[in-house]
Amino acid sequence: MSNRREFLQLTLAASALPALAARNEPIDPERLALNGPRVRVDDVIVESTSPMAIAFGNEATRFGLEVQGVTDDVTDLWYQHLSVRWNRGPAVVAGLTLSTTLFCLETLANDRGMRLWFRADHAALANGQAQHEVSGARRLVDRAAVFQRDWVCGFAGLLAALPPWQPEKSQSNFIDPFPDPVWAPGPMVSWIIAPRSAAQLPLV
Amino acid sequence: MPLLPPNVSATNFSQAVSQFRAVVGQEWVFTSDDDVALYKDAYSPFWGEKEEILVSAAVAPSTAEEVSQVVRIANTFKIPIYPISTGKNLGYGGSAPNLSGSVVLDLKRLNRIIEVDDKRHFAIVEPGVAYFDLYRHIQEKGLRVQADVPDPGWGSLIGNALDHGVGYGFGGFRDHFYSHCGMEVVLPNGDIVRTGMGALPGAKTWAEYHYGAGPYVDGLFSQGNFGVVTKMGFHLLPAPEAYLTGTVIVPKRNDIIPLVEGGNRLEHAGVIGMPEYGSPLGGFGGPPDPELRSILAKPGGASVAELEQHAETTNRGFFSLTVQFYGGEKVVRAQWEYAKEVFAGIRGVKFNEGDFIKFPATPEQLEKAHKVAIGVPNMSIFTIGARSAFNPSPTDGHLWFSPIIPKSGEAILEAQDVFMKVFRDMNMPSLVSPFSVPATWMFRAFVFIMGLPVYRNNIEQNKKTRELVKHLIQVGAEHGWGEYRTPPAFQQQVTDAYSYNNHALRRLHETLKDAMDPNGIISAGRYGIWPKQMRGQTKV
Repeated sequence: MSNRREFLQLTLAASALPALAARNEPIDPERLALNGPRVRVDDVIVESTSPMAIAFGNEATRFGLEVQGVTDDVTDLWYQHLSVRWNRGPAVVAGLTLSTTLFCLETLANDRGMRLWFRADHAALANGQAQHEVSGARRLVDRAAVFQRDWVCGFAGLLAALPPWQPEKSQSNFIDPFPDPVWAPGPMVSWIIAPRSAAQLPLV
Repeated sequence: MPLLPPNVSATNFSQAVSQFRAVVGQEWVFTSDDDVALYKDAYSPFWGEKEEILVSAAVAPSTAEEVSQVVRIANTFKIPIYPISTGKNLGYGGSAPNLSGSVVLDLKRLNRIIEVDDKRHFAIVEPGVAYFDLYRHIQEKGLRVQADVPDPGWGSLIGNALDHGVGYGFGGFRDHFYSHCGMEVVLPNGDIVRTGMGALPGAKTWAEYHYGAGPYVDGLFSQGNFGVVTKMGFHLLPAPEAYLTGTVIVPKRNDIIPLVEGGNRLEHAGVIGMPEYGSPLGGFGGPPDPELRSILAKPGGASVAELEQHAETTNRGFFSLTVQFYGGEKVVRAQWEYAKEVFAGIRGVKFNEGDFIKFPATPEQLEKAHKVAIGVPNMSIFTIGARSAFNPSPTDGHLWFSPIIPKSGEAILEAQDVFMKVFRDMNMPSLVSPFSVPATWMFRAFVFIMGLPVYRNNIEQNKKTRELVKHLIQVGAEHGWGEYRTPPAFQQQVTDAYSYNNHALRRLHETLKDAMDPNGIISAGRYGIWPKQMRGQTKV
């Protein structure tokens, strides 16, 4: 099994990004600039009771992303933060959470002119492998194929250098034969919620 | 080929959509596959099957005047429309209509809080106002009122009330249609009418006095299809100074009878808020412990004596009642003392004092409290897992079977026996046990509610669930227990059961429907009321 640093470097190579510094150092998002604009991700939501989500949250923080924890009940996240943020205007929010959390947030987002643009359902298989059922904007699904074997780092890296996408959709199913030990069983899902219209994606 | 409304040509539909766009703006008419898919019932019991209800388009006006124009256009082209508020009626149909091909009239842009008065204790709101929105408004303005809230808090006050939704607070406040006062309605011909005191120009009592003068028509617009409600008033509770709970525990199964009698006496006299019946042995939402499960699993089932013995040896009691008091501190403490006197005659009764909050609640108190009981909307209901012996796999949603039973202990015991037999006869894990208790959301009745699982990837299980629900509805009706609310999949069967005098009520509804909505454009099929031209047909 290749180590996580090698996988991440493969991911960055595939996206034409510069190599990373040592893994325990913060990463300047400006160094991850694409050849072109990237979509600004306002918030990253992680399920605080999931080791996988916590590891992802740590990676996202290293990439300079704003990370919010949620423990199953989305009330405070919604009422104190997201409803206020989304009332100001569309914003891009991503996360690695329980599927019930995504259901609540997606439903609330739909009311505010936003849509679920990327979804990956993660499952621990009986044979010890991990499965990712991925669907959404084609460009994002294609990116997931690159980092499928190091989801935690790869998804964080994707969010830090999120390319704008077009409405065309696709789906795929990836198997990781050697998942990271932080994996825990349960209906976890990675996702990206963004404005309904590609023209409204906030770009930096 | 996009889905068309039934009996509407592509040309007419296209013209109607163009005219909708001219009224509400291009961006507020939704016809793309991705957009209309959002109006599917997220908890549909027909997910992926040909009977699943799909919409042809959605239109989102922002004012009552725009609603009126949209309704007139729908009439011109005979387009069936289906109004929704915030579309969160999960378990009872969500945002999907009864008739496939309908155009959803999405009212969430009508989201103004018109007025909140904390001296006379009322609010007037539009359909897009959610409980969270009103709560934020009350908190930010420092108003001394409390709205009664359901679970979860993202729903519309108007939408919830119009489907006879309920909450958790004091008396009639938690029956949300009961506590409404006055409405503004767009009729099927586009006319805008205000009911009650709202019909008197300049009246300031629209949300205070229900009836105005003459016949009271508000009920037509609840669980009905006679118009589109665009404003509604609600009576609010004065914000209490304090809140106290206490629990009464009784040792024997039949003690439920005097327990409910005492609860009724206290509630109907205005002493307590919503009574919460339960069982320390595992009632509403709670599974029995392993030892108890083994007793219940014995061939022939467990005897009452064995269960009571188990309750005694584990020192847990058989049934419980949590009572809630709202008011001044001295008052609630005195009321709890009085409540104990009411139940003192039950042999072996025990009392536990519970939470006491002197408002404003501290963060720690709020974290621990049953938030909906003190008017705090939240989403915690989604954290309740759906795993059970009935279905060990996680579900994608649920639907409710909600029969109304009399407000008595005898009725609870009878309902337990009747429904346990249904599950035995169908050879299914039972959702009902000798400890099951009803929900008490209704002010003057019980609802012996059960949640049945639905799946997005298990058509066979959904079919079994539907068959079970149909059978439960039939058995319930045979015992005089009709549903208070049900998803569209069962609305015809449920309302068929209300058959007194050769379905006289249905015939009355149809007479009114034919007069008020001759083209049958509003919510065709809702609660069994179909337009004349569609009666007797097989419909999806």
